[in-house]
Amino acid sequence: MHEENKVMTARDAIARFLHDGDSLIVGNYTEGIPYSLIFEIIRQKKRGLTYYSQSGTADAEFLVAGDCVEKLCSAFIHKWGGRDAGSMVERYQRAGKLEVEDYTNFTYNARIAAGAYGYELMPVLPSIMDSDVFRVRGFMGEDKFGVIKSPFSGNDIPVVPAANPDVCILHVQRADVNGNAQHWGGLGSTVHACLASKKIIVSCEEIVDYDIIKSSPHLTIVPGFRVNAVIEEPYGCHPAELPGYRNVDYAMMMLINAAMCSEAGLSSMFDEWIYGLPDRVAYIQHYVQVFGQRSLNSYNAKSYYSAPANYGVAFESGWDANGLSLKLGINMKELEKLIEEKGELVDVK
Amino acid sequence: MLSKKITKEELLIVTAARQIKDHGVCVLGIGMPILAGALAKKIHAPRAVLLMESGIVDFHPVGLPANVADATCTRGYGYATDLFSVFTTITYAGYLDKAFLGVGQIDRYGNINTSYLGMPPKAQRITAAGGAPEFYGYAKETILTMKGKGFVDKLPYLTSPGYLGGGDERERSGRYRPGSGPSTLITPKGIFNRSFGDNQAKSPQSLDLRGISGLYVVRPHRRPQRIRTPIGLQPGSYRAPQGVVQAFGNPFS
Repeated sequence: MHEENKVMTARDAIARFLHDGDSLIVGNYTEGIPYSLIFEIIRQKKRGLTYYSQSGTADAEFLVAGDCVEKLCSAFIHKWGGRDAGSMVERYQRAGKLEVEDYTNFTYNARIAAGAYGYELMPVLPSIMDSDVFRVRGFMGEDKFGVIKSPFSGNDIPVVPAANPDVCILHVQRADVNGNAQHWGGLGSTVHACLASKKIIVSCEEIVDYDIIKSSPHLTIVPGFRVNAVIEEPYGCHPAELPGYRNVDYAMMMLINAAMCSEAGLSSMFDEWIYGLPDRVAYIQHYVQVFGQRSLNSYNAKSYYSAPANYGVAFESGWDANGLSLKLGINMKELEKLIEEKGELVDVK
Repeated sequence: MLSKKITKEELLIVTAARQIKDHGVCVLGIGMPILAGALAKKIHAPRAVLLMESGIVDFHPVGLPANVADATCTRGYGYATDLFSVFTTITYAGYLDKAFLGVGQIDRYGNINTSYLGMPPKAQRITAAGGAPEFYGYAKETILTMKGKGFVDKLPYLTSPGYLGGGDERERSGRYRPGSGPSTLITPKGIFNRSFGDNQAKSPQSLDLRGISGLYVVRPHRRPQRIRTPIGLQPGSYRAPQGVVQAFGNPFS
């Protein structure tokens, strides 16, 4: 079979795998947010998305302000622009331009955990039944929560339905060309978000050889066979942080925060930083023009390496250096003879 | 005498830090709790296990992170897990000693609103639930911190259940970890401790926050002073419990 090439640009990946009306989930939980992919979604003017964002940070603000999102499922909303200015999510929600379903961090995560495991529902913790998060229903209506009876204790157990978004966008430290994606740091609900989704788009700081992946499988959070697109996108999560690469870029975050104080500010920011720039390379060049290379460099991480895990074993095959089987102490010729004597050879001529 | 003046905020951080015990397992939210954790680790609780809901467990705070998965918290930590496991294997399974939660609005029974100042979709947002309802339900105890004037008679939206309608309603529901709930509320105005109601000895389950009517201002070099709170002062609606409200006391004494 022809092997599919998964390595592509952000533009190609979004054009090919994300469609109007899809449900979209951001894999990263507050850190490493794939802003390059998010900006590309806004540039391509995707419409009518149902967006899942556990942390509801600037990712949700941008996509909502870009008029890409019709429905939002979230556990948190950061008040960008300050308490009184209100977030874009809040403004759109209050104006009736956005439907929001509020979950808690755990109940949101439980929905995608169920989706990832292939379950239709997931039990959640009973205290939620006394919360207005449980009682007040948005676009999920009756299906936001349910209550089942335990066949063992007879207790009432609140449950949430599985969520299986169409597309997951994720930014990681490194991946190989097949999509084996390695990520370390605050994992949040990242693994569940990816594995619950039907298609996964991975952007990474670096594409590495499979040998690197093979020697550190504990860092692989999504296996390549689940991934549809791999984008080598240095600074793909800027201004968010990524362990080993950089911290939050406060200069840029302050600009975003200031822009979000008003619709006019936001619209000029969109023109300058999203619509006016074709891709992430241009974005970083523009950042350097505005803030200077020194500002960009000042958020670079100082390395602190993980001790290598020794995956070595005693044997690399079932045969020793003299060609003798480790289990039987005989060579291949003797083994073949043994099998023939037992009458287990079949003539396939 | 202290060689330097301190801010009220620093005083609150010291107070919160004192709630963190050595070897205790504590979940910290962004802001003051992180600074309290950093202080506790340095001074009196070097082996406290501090964690954040993003799955960063046994971490060493170095500064104020931007969020609960910030890279300032990931330079070397003991246990990398995920959010689902923090809420299940650590919290619901009973291994979380203390939760520190920020409060938007609170009623006299320790019920909390961090979501909306009315009913969605029209109401103004505070933020949203985040991890609060589940930590509040299953941490062995919760330390609350509140910056604004959030005492209200009735919450417009109940995000995280405390003692519900008061008395033993929380215990009776069977939905919470027994004994869990708010133990201390730290505000710039003072520190509130949990009240056990009037018949503490007879009914240890009778937990409510009526005690927050007994508010104490904590200032260095002064004895705690009793002041009035904006709620819980409706005549006849309750009797101020006697002798059960403890002032946290002077943190420098």
